[in-house]
Amino acid sequence: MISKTPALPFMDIGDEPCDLHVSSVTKHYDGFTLNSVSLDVPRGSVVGLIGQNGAGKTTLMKSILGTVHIDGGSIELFGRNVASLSQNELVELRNRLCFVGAVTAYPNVMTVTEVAHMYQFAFRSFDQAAYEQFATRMGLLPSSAGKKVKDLSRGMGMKLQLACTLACGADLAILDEPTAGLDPIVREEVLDILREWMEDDRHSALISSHITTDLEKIADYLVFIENGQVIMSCERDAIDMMGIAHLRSAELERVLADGLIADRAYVLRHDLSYDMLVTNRAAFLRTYPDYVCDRASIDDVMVLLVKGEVR
Amino acid sequence: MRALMYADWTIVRRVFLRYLLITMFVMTPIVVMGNNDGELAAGTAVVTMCVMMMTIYLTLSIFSFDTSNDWEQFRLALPISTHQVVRSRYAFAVLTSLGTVLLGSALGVLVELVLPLIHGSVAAPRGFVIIFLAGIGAALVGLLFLSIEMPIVFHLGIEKARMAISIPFMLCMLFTIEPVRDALISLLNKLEHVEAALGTPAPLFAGGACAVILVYLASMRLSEHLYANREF
Repeated sequence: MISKTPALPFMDIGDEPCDLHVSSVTKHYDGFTLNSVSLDVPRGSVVGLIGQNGAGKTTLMKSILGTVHIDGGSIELFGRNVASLSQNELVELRNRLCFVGAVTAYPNVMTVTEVAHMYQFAFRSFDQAAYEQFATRMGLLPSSAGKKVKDLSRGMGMKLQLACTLACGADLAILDEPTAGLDPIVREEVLDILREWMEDDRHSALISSHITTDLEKIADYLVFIENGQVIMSCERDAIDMMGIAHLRSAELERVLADGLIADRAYVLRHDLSYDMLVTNRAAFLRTYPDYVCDRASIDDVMVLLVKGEVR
Repeated sequence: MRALMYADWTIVRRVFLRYLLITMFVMTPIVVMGNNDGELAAGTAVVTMCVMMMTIYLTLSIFSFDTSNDWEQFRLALPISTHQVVRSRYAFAVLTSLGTVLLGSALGVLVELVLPLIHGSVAAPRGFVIIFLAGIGAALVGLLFLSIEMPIVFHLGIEKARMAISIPFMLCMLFTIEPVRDALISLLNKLEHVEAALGTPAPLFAGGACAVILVYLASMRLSEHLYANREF
């Protein structure tokens, strides 16, 4: 008996407590709409947000941070709907949230030490000793303590952001492209620090990145976003189960005719063959032992979801 | 809010000397010429110019740093509300003006001490108290100008609001129009009568100060409303 391949997975976290719950968030701009986006960041987990440029990742993050006003839906931080909070309550709640942006966005005349002092004033639970420990480990202190933000390299700027945000006592970190533009060694250092921070079960993170290999290393859940919509969300392990079947025309027709692919099959046409996204590679190979089906990477899945046609 | 005021302070520390030098450069010929024709008291001229220019320049220069590096957007990711952003900037402008009053007063006194050594005498030397009060008056005018400018800057951002920054100065140009100038002279004459009737200018000065404070607070409320609706 042939078992039916399941449809694209969607994240089901059951009753797990969430630090961030985004429900049907909508935001309209001229030429772009973030359309009813929902996602959860379960406590103690890392959720990777994946999508092309302009897919809506940054708009979603801005919505969560409150720098844009959403047109519909709701955002809950630590179980509280942010729309129902007063400014003071929101500030109180935001002490548990920190943000790392793609660029080092402090006034460029501030020095490294002054930025840390500013965080100390901003966050009630800022831990100066933890900051110094992170900053020393990352090579910021003592040599760059007096350096101005404008004189820091991209990597050092990112390290400064990380040292400050991870020492600010927050439980949820939102990171927008934290490893973009960094060399592989600094990238690995950044990921190590994030992994270490995540060892505390109270900590959670939402990370957007184009560098999907980084997310493969660190994410527990993945959310794929395209054209302002979530097109797939799953546990990181679900990607390991997926495959890319390389099929000739007749083979593709046969697979489709067998009706094994539930709801919709994502197929990318090449000159002489087709790539098809398979949600359960092992089951597919049991059913079609003669066909080629490679293990899928996050990049493969993204390319198929974005560029593939739906059959 | 302390975090934002600290950030503003670090910026002001770096640009302060530059603006002080510009102010002194502009001030010097005016002070010297004023002293020579014997009609302008050098000390009050120094404090007035120093306070007016420095208060407005320094406050607006902090706004310029908001847009560099996306700081304007990033600071809202800190545990800081939009109202706190506005209030911290208004509070910082007041602190800046008070700082410049002290600095300007000291410079004014210094000028009144030094100029006699160069020119032999100073027209109508006023002493520290009068110079300081002139400084307070200049600070109030500076804050009044900022009351007009800051809501526009908070609403549009400094880049789009550059033209609007000149609005208070353009309003001053209205006094070159004869009917407006006559109306102002008439008002000043009436105030002189009131002062004569009261026997002291203190109530008028206090009343003016209260009016500026009310306008400043109203401007802050307007900025809070406008800034809360802004998106980044």
